[in-house]
Amino acid sequence: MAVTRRQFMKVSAAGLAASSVGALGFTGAGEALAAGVRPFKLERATETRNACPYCAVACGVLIYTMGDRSKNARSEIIHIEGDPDHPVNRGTLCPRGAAALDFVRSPNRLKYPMVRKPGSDKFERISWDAAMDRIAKLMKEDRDKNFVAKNRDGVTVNRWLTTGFFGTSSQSNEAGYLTYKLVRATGILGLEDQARI
Amino acid sequence: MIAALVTAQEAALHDLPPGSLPGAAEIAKAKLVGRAPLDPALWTRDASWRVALSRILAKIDRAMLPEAADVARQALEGAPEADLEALAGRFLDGGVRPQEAAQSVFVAAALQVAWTRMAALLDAGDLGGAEGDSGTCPACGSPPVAGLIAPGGTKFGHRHLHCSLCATAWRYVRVRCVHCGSTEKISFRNLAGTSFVRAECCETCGGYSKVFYLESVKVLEPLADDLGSLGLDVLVGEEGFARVPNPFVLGVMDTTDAD
Repeated sequence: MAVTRRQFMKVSAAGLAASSVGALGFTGAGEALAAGVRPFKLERATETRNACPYCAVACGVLIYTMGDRSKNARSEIIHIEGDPDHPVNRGTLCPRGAAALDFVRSPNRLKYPMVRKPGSDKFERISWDAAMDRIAKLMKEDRDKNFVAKNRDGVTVNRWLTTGFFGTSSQSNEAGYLTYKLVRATGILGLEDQARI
Repeated sequence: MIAALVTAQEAALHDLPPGSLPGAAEIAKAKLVGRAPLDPALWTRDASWRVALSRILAKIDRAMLPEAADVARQALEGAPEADLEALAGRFLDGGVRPQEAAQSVFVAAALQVAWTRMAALLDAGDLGGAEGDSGTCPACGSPPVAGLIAPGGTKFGHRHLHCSLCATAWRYVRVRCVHCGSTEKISFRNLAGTSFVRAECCETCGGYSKVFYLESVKVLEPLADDLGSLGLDVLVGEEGFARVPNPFVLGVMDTTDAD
């Protein structure tokens, strides 16, 4: 069977012996090679593209993970660096972005909704549903109490000044648009959404 | 033996007649059909590669050759022109027959010299393919032998693929399959304890290619270090991934479908 230089092939000890390696007179080279690598374990790793979570520049990052995520094995992030192919940052990162690994591993990292109730000095974990309900309830209460439909001169203003809203830097244009529409529809003026550069 | 071979290659490259190069019309034509200007299927090679071959065969350090290799060398020295051209044709575009596996290494070496010479004289603007986007060589359309990740400077962290035929290096986006262009299910394999070379495996097409990290070793040569890390190929092959061959390791392998 003929072999072309563009064809896929699987390398094996027997295959090497039958290839030009063997044909050139290096007999046994394939077996020796296979025996030589036998003690080594094959480690799996992934490099994943993502966007830095910190600011609205949204630099591209490469996240290095030990373990093969496609095989559902336990994996661990070992390194984060700028994505050299990303048109925005071309492999560079600011000091905060470069320290993103510590952000991932920080014991203080927020992983689920927490609430500190009035009068308490502790944060308690709550479910997402409970958090959503609570936020909605408190927003509605506050809006019902403080919404300003008309100003002193009787001009319609429809504003709600007692609540503010923080967006996020790492959302898409579409999500930024939805955030803006939602918040402005309620009358909130105090919107800080970093996805605006 | 590879050391002796590349030493002979270098000696052969020196003062090699430049060979005929594609003119503006041929380059425009290649661009029109989306092929590289020095693609062996488009560009008819002249005799300069046979000059390189005879020089390699004459100058190679025979003390470094195993007996079978020297037999192949002698067979090539006495071979008529037409046979050599047929061998070159089979190496470049068709199948190398099992009994030719040893001879094809010398032929490959000579063709590399001739194509490297032509590629070096080519204007960069005449290369095919969009930057960062082509899995095959923009100068000659050959598959790459391996990818190198730059350690610093303005090209920090970029991957450059190295051509298996004309030694051209070109940028290719990282974490992207060289063979099918997929970015979906890419994972890496490396021998425990070594970090300078990894196999970038693609589960979409079942192919892989090697990535060398220059940051970890500083001195690397893609073709030679590809051969030097064949052990990794054996283990990755056992996991079921396939690659395009190193031009010096052609022969009968456990082949899968052509890509």
